[in-house]
Parts: sequence; structure tokens; C-alpha cells
Amino acid sequence: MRQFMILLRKDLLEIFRTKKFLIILSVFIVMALLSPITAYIMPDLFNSLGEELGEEFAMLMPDATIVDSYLQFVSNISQIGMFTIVMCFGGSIVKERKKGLYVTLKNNGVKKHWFIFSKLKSQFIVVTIIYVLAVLVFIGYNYILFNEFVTTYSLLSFTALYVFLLFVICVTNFFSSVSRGAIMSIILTLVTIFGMALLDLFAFGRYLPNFLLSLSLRIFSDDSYIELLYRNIVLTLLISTIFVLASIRFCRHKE
Amino acid sequence: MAAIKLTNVTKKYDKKTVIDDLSFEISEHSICGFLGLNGAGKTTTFKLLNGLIDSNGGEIEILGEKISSRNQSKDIKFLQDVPEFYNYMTAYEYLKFICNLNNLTDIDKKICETLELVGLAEAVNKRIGKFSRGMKQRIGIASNIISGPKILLLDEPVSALDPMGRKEVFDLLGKLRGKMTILFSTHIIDDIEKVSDQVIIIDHGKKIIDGTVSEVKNMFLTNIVEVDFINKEDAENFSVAFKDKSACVDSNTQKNSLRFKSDDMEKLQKGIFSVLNKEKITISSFNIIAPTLEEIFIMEVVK
Repeated sequence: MRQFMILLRKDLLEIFRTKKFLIILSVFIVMALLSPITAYIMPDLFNSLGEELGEEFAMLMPDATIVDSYLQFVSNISQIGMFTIVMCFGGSIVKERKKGLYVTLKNNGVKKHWFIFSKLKSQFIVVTIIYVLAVLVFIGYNYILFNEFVTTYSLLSFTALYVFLLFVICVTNFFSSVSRGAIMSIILTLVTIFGMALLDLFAFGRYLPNFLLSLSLRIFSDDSYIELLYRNIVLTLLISTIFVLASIRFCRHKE
Repeated sequence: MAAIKLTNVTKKYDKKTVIDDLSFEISEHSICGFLGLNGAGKTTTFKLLNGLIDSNGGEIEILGEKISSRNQSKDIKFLQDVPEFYNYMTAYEYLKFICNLNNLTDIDKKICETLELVGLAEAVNKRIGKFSRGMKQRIGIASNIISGPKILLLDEPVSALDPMGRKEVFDLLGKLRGKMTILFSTHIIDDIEKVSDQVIIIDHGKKIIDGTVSEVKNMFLTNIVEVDFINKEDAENFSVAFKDKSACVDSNTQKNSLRFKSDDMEKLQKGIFSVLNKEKITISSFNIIAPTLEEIFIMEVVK
């Protein structure tokens, strides 16, 4: 545990000094600001476009609601936010393995599982802080634009998105543990996550982590999905744990 | 007790034998140079000693304790040929990180002393990313000696350094003499003669030569004798008086020296001293020529 705390301090220092914190924070805050604005101006945009096409088109777009803003937020964070996380953390383990820094750590008695856990924990901490800040900015901006603070299922929706981001971190670290290079690690992670999204088309796709994103929005219109959301949160956490255990099992230093 | 003892160690990668029945011992507190061509098995031997990989046969003992990847020795530290660091850390932060991992106490004092020893006291708050190669090699050594290991393994510590950087590293090894056992690999033969007590030469994973530098040189003594005279006149007088002209193979007028070669070294030596006595000639030195380590290496390995 002592080793874990020392490594965690080191990994947090690395995230701050290499400006990864700043990059992810900037992207998430921009998304938090952009999502309500996009949702807010979208009907006006379509209406003005519709007016040019004919009166009947202009009537089709209803006024924006806070739920539209959530839709934008979830979609932006789960795509651009996820991509930023993968880009920033995709090389974290593989670079240490390739450069021989992991050998140095082993030489100083560091156990493999602490090495992996400290990477995960530091990334969880950073993403949690940034996500909470982004959510606060998002809620505040929603209030300014829509004059509403939260909807009934906001917390649940935010939690589902947060669990998905934790899953992304676990997948990223798994491929960083087994890949030969950072680029390969990033590509494999993105292919896996987008591949899972495509599996949404099939029945069993409903048990995969990506379905969380869809559920986190459906609950606003139909609360019968809540039970399914809880089930998927548990499943996503289980799948994430499998990725973590696999990272420890298959992580190898350069020989 | 030997600090390092290898007995019939073999290591194979797939079907290729990288280390082949290798055995040697290195005594405590000595500095041993490990010499071999690229691919001779030096780095693999270091990884075996450090427990980073397992052998396919034989035994490795560190200070009397058998080691493997599951039972690594805490008394041994290993610095890779081109060490990498967390470039965003300062020298102080990096050494503190290493001290914390090794659960050391009195950390600040240890860091100051170690940085002083390796000549990086002024770079204490400088980021490692801005260090020169020589400085990186020294901070690498510092990070390995700060916990006070009994054995230090250095894989080609000067291979990427300029002459000044090499001098700095070997001066540092000189300072560490007697404090710990040091095994360093190199393919620069001059390096071994500078600091080593023992030299081991391997080729294709097999031990070719093992001994102290002087022992190794004595193994390869030539049948050539060099006599240095005090002045040119003595050298000329000797040359005239010495009957076996065919034995005299070379003369160096600047050094006032003559070289003799014979298959019967005893007879040659007796003949030389007999003339010196008879002619009352004083000499400044009499040497049986020993080859340099480089010559031995070329003879035995490069062939």
C-alpha cells in the first residue's frame, strides 16, 4: 500500500506536469459550455433554415428543453471527451514499459499490480475532478439558458456517463499494458469502444457498456428504463474489473 | 563469500542459446569489467542476475542466496545501457521518489550526499529532461547507489558518452571502489584497464577469459623482451656486444630501447643479463612484453 501511495503521487504529478490535466479539463469545460448553447440555438437554427425552405418546415422544430441539452452533453462527452481521455492516457503504461522505466520500478521492489493500480487511480481521480467541474459548469449554464437547475433523473444520468468514462480508462490501460507502442494502444482502444457501439444494433449489445449512454438519455422520457440502467452500471463495472485484472495479468516489461 | 556466483547458467530464446553454460565468480567489493562483442550475452547476463528473466538451467547466487524472477535480490541494483527517467521530475524529486520506494530514512541528507558524490549537487533542482547524457548516466548511478546496494550492475555505462562523460563516469566508479561490488559491461577495452580488478570476456554466451587484469595479461605474455637503456651510447654498446644479432628485432632510438625475440626465453634472458654484467651497462627497465587487453580480445574473440 505504501508503494501504491508513492506511485500515485508520481502519476498525479506526471498528469499535471505533462499538461494532460489542462488538456482534458479544457475539452470537458468547452463541451460543458457548448452543449447547452448548441441545444438552445438548434431550434432557431433549424427554424431559420426551414423558413428558407418553406413555412411547414419551420413549424416542425419545437423549442429546446433542458433534456436536449443533456442529449448534447452526453453525446459530446462520450465522443470527444472519451477520445481526449484515450489520447492522453493511451501511452501511459506502454511508454514506461518501452523506455525501461517499469524495469527501474521493478528494480526498486515495485509490484506489478501497484504499478497498474496507481495508473488507474490517478486517472480516475483526474477524470472525476474534471467531470465534476464540467457537470457543475453544465448545470450552471443550463440554468442561465433554460432557467432550470436539474431534472428528476439528472444525477442518475450523470452517474451513467461517469461509469462509462471509468470503463474507457480501464480499456485504455488494458491496451496500454499489452501493446507494443502508444499508437497501437490508442488505435486498439478506439476500435474496441467503437466496435462495442456498433454491437448496439444486436440484442446482446444491450448488455455492453455503450448501452449506458443510450439509457442515460432514455430515462428522461421513460422511467421504466431505470432498472435497466442500474443493471448496466453493474455490468459495466464488472467488465471494467475484468479489463483491470487482464492488464495486471498480461502487462510485461521490455526484455 | 562471492558477491556474484554463476554456475553452469544457460539461457535460450526460442531455440537460440544466448548464454551457454556460463560460470564465474566475482568477489565482494571488487570492480569487474564484463567484455564481449555486441550480442555476446552481456545484457542477458545482467537481466538474469537482476531476476528480470529466468535461466533455462544452472544456478545464480547473489551473496550466497539463490535468485530467480520470483526471488529477486534486494542487494542488487541494475542500470540499463541508455537509462530513461521521468523527465518532468527534478533530480531531487527523482531521488526522493527512489528513496521513498526503498523506504529509506533521512532522505534529504542522503540525496545531498549522493548528488555531491556523483557531481550533480548544482543540478538538484534542474529537470532531468534538460540533463546531458553524461548527467543522465550519473543521476542513473545516483538513483541506484542511494539505497546502498551491495552490488551494482551497469550495462554499458559509457557507450553513449563523449570522452569527458566517460571520464566522469569512471572517476565516479573509482570513488565507489570498496563500497560495493560493481559489474559493468563494455565493448571499450581501455575502460576495463582503467578501473577493473577483474575482467571476464564472453563470446556467444560462453566464458573465454576470467581473471584479474594482470593475470589475464600474464596468460598472454609474448616471447618478446624490451630493454630500456639510460642513454643512446649504452644501447649502442650493448647492441655491439650482444652476439645473437638475429634475436634483436627492433630498436627505438628515441626511447633508447631494444626489443628481442626468441623461442627460448630463458636463454635469451640469461644472454642479455650476461652482456649487461660484462659490459657494466645499467638499464632503466627490463620487460617481457604483455599484450594489451585489446590485443588479447582481438586474439581470442575477434580472431
